[in-house]
Amino acid sequence: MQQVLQDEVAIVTGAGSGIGRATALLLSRAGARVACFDQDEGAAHGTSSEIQAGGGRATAIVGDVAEEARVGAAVERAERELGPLRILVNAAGIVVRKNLLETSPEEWRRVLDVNLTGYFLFLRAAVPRMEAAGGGRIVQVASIAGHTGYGYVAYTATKGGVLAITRQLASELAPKRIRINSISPGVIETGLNRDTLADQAIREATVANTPWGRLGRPEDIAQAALFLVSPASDFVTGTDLVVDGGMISCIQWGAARRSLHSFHATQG
Amino acid sequence: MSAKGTPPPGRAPALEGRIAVVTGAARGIGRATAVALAGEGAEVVGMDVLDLRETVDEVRAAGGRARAVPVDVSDREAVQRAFAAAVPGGRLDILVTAAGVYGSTTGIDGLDQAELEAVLAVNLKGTLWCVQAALPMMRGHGGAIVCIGSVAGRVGGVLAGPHYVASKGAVHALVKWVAKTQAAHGVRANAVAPGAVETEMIRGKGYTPDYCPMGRLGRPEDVAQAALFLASPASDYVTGTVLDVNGGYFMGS
Repeated sequence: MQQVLQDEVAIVTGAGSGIGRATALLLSRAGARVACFDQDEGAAHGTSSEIQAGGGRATAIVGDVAEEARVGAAVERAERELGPLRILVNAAGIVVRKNLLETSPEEWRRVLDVNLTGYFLFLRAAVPRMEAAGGGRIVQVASIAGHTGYGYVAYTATKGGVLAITRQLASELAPKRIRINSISPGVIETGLNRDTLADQAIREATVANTPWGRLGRPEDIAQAALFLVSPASDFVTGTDLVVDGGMISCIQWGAARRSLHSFHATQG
Repeated sequence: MSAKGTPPPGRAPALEGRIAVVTGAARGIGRATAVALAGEGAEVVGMDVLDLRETVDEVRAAGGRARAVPVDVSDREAVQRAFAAAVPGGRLDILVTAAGVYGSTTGIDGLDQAELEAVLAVNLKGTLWCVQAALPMMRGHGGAIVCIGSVAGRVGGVLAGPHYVASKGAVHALVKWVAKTQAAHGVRANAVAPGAVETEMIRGKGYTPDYCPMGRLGRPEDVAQAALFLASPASDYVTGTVLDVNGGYFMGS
């Protein structure tokens, strides 16, 4: 059975959970062989085992995205075990929910290390191999935080950086036949948000501020990533695809929305 | 999501059982979108002022379902009648507004009222009238609206005239209004903003393949695949956004 990504080799960072995991699983269902990179050994193996159990090819690679030697070795191993690398999904990320004066320089550096330097290192390792293979596709998970500000200084800075580096590289990599795009998720129900979304007031306010009326699912982002690495998006590069249930497309009034939008209808 | 507009063997069509209206379906982006949606199992109603026979024939030859409903989208009454005729059960799942005109490239000094109104009539009013007609047929069970905008509406254009640029910017704004107000009714709305695409619209107007980093003009199928993604369940959490399909020509947000 010929599939959209038949036997293409992909490496997904943060593949042990959340958006990375959902993307690894979906790319596999579309025919790809997936290297699942995560710092959590059990989680990385969990995703690769699930792919293998479904009849797909996968390998688990454990490491810290911020360690250059580990990243280089991971990409080399992915090629050795699965074949020439054609797809990279940068999805590993952390958040420190603190504002400027609460954020220590150490916390700032760690968030930048994972969310920005980690992406940079995987790009540096993957691009020469994609070029050698005749081209490739890269998807970078950014955030609506990079567009709007989201309250967390280090996280927002890294996601703005992801948007910027994606645009920078689109023109730089186009002659190498490599496309690169980002996705800006809204609030997605993953481990990254587990603590805040467990707070009922925050959870309800989040849903109320999302026109589509629900939290995002990791699969929503995985579907967007699949589109951006598939031939269907062959003329799409340097763009950011917002997948947020309409959250930043408009000013949203939460529970007041209905009465506000029909104010003149009810007030005469 | 194959480039040929048919799902790979073994995968279920994504839009089986859905009814889609595609405006501007006689040629270019509209035609390619009609073919792509039908390739995923949708029953496509093509609308245009031009002859739709080639589009219908192309869809049917590939084993898909398509019908032609001639209409001038700038005529509100005609649009209302066309939608009523196109969707007898009153249930519509997908609307793609691809009808558009380019107008002159003479700049603003020589722009007269007739020229301005001719462009706004199709690109803005035509889009709005079709959205107006489609929404009552979508509310409740849900639907997806995809409006074809333009990179010109994002960056002010280069070769396009001010009236075209303004009309496409308006389309992007309209999409956000629809997304915001209709989400509670289960209707999503997004735009695709193509760069220069090889269609009749831009032929002979000086666009060359080196205009973007990818080094080629867009193809109608590139835009059709983006519209297909935004019309399909794969984009169920995407609303109010503008998806750029321009080979890296413009990368703003």
